[in-house]
Amino acid sequence: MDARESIRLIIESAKERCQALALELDEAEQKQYPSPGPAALLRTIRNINGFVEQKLTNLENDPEIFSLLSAKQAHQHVNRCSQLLPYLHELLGLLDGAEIKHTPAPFVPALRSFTRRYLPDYELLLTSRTSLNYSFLNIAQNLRKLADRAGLAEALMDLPENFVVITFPRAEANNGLLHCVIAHEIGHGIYKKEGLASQLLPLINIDRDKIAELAKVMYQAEVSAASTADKPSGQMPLYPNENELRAQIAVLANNTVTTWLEELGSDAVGFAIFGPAFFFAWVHLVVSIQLIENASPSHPPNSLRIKLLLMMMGIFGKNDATLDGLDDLPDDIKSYANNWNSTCDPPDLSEQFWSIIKSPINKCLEDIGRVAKQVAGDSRYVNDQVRTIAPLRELIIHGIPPNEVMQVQTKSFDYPGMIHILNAGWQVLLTDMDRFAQTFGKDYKTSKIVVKDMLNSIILKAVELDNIRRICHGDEE
Amino acid sequence: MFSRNHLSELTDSLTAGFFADRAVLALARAKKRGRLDESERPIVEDILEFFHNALQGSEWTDKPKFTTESVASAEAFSRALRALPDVRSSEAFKSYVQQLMQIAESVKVSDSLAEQDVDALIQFFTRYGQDELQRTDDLINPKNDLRVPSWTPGKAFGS
Repeated sequence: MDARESIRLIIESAKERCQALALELDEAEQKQYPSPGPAALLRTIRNINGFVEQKLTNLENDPEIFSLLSAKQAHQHVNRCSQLLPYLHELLGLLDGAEIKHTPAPFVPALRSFTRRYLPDYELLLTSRTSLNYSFLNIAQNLRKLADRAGLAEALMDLPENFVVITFPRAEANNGLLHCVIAHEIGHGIYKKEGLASQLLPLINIDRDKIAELAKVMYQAEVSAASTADKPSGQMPLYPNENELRAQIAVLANNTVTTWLEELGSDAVGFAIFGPAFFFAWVHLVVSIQLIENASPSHPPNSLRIKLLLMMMGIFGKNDATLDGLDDLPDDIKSYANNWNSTCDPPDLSEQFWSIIKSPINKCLEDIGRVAKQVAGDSRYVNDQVRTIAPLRELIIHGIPPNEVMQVQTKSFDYPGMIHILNAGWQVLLTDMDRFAQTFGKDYKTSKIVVKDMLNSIILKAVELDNIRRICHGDEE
Repeated sequence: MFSRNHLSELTDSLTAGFFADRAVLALARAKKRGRLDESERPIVEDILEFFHNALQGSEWTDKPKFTTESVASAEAFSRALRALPDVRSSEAFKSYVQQLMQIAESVKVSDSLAEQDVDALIQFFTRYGQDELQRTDDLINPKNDLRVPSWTPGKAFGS
């Protein structure tokens, strides 16, 4: 088969995939979603699909492709275009779990409104996954770069400037208190929007001697791996020359430091706006599924993350990173946080490979917290324990959604807002569940799951009512 | 929250691949015409920026400093290296890339391009594009990533 014929077959087959995808998009458009994000994404995928089909047709009839390019180069052009098709399927897959039936539908509008207070030109897609994890992905920026390179920028006319996909675990869809972990994901958006990397990266110093040490560790480990009996015979070291080792170190060190700082920065920003509720949700999620010392190229060890959040809570003493009002936290709440101290301080530097990166970042945790506080500005969480949180706790304990508190003397209502609702909810979960269970005639020790579900229902109801009030009063769109 | 994003890597790989394809096409047209068309000047500027980043990345281990640009430089260095499998020393790499940069500069301004020179650039970006095509395929159809050392503690990039 000659080159032209094989290219013609690739194009014909790829165009059939475009047509099949178009039909799938028709079906996806019939589903019900709790926010406008999914419709915008579907239109974008359809536009790109149309462009791809047209581009393939153009390639088929383009005389330049064969007159200017070799057969190999022409194949490359066509294959690249067809590789957009599985990519579009991955984009479409983002909508799995985004329908009303798979999301905490009352929570989604409240969370969308809250997120847009910090990220006003962001559209949000909240979607559940069958994985015990939360994630954040801004697809718009990278998609725009791709569209520009691929010559399909016009296909993105329906895509908002920033389009964020936040995923959460489907099995915990109605666990409103655990969803405080989403603060970290919002933190990602703020971290990028405010360009915090440019403030934090220069603080990290790894000198040339440390790089040489890193190179030695990497090379020795690779030689060791190549010579162990478990490895297939004849496996060559990965670094046959100096350039390869330099490239691997440069990529690994830069990507690791950049992503660790972004993760820590997102934690710090999330804590700065959500307060202790974020810390409690995060440790509850993490200890159930991860090791404390689990460094990887994409994420810092949990011990560093815990240390940063405890620092911002003032557990190591007040500093520039500590939020206001946390001195007034009840003793049992402080004690709960303090119990995490020993998991993170002093830091574990026993693994030579990670200690080279962990050590300089450990020294900058206070700076990370301080910068996050500055970025949160007037929106940063201030723990008003006596006036706000304590009354909300009592409402919750008595089974009343804590979205409004009547001030008896003035006969007016205070509206605490979503963040205080969630913080009060966490304090009840950690220390008042026996009393809460009694309100419903239950014994917490023997009915834990049922009672926790009831607590989450009350919290979600309060968040929903708070958002409805804001919309009715014109505070939100 | 706990894993690096596959979709981000796939988008990045496709973007790099389309860049390589556009470079090859623009250079092939320039070679045939004997000069660069104005409409293709932006891609040659991008080519120069890529080589500049690759050179910066090759020097990073000598002067390690973390900036918002150093990630892009490191990635450009890694990609350039994969398109130059026979270049083994850092001096040879710098010399070769500087040569390609000079050719790209002359493509920008010359009215009579030397075919042999343009061919060197076309070959580079063809190899770059081919490597990226394979990487994209590996991301779409995951296999063991042989580029990441098997002994790397913790999860590897992209997993």
